[in-house]
Amino acid sequence: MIDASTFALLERIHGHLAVLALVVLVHPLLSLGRGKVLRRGTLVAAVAGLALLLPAFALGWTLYPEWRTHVKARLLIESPGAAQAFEVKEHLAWFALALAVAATGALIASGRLPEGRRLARWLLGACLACGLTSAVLGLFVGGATWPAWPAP
Amino acid sequence: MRPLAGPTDRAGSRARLALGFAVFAAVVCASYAVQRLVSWAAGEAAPGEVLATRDVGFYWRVGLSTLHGLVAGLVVGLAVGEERARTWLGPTGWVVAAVVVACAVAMVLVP
Repeated sequence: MIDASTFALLERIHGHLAVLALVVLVHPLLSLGRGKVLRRGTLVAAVAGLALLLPAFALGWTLYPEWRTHVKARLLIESPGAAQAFEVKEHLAWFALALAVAATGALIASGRLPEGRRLARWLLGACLACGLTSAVLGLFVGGATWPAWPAP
Repeated sequence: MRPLAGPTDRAGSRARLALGFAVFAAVVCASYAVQRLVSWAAGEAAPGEVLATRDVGFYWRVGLSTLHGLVAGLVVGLAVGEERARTWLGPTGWVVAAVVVACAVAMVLVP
């Protein structure tokens, strides 16, 4: 059980980490489209992006029970649009994480093959599409749910 | 930046591994979307009764879809031949992307 201000702090860290991860993952997407060989920087950026995305998702996962207890029911009644946006954000964030794991794994496994780099690029593109949509929805929901719940 | 080494004689097994990762992602997304659609079709708690529900659907969906993705990825990674894996690696990218787009659209329509 955490208080509202700790929740707000962790929620912000969660959002910032996720956005930072997406920004880092843009690098391998662009560099895979340019080069004919796999460069070390591309691989490092993909691993770093995944390493940032994992704790972001884990933090969201940890905060979810508090969200469900204090915010979700109220939001469903007061602002159904924001509640639905949050659900879509959750779904797409999970897709983005699965795709980031797959893209990084495929890049490590077969980044030396041209077909492997093409595969990783498709996976990264899909990951960023889901992740960026999730981030935009997160901003919208964050604005609609401030403050998360009234201080006692 | 220094380029990494070129293709090696282990290209076939690397392609199998990459194919396994791609199948993992596609199956995770498809499984998650199907579970969500099934629970929507089965009916859901009213907004005021959300806290009274015993299970947290999101946790179940993530857990089960991970399990499905791991099994499917392992089966494909182990069962597909090395030559076939290299052949399939090219088109797999856009096939997975198409699956993800379809699942994402379904999740927007049924939040």
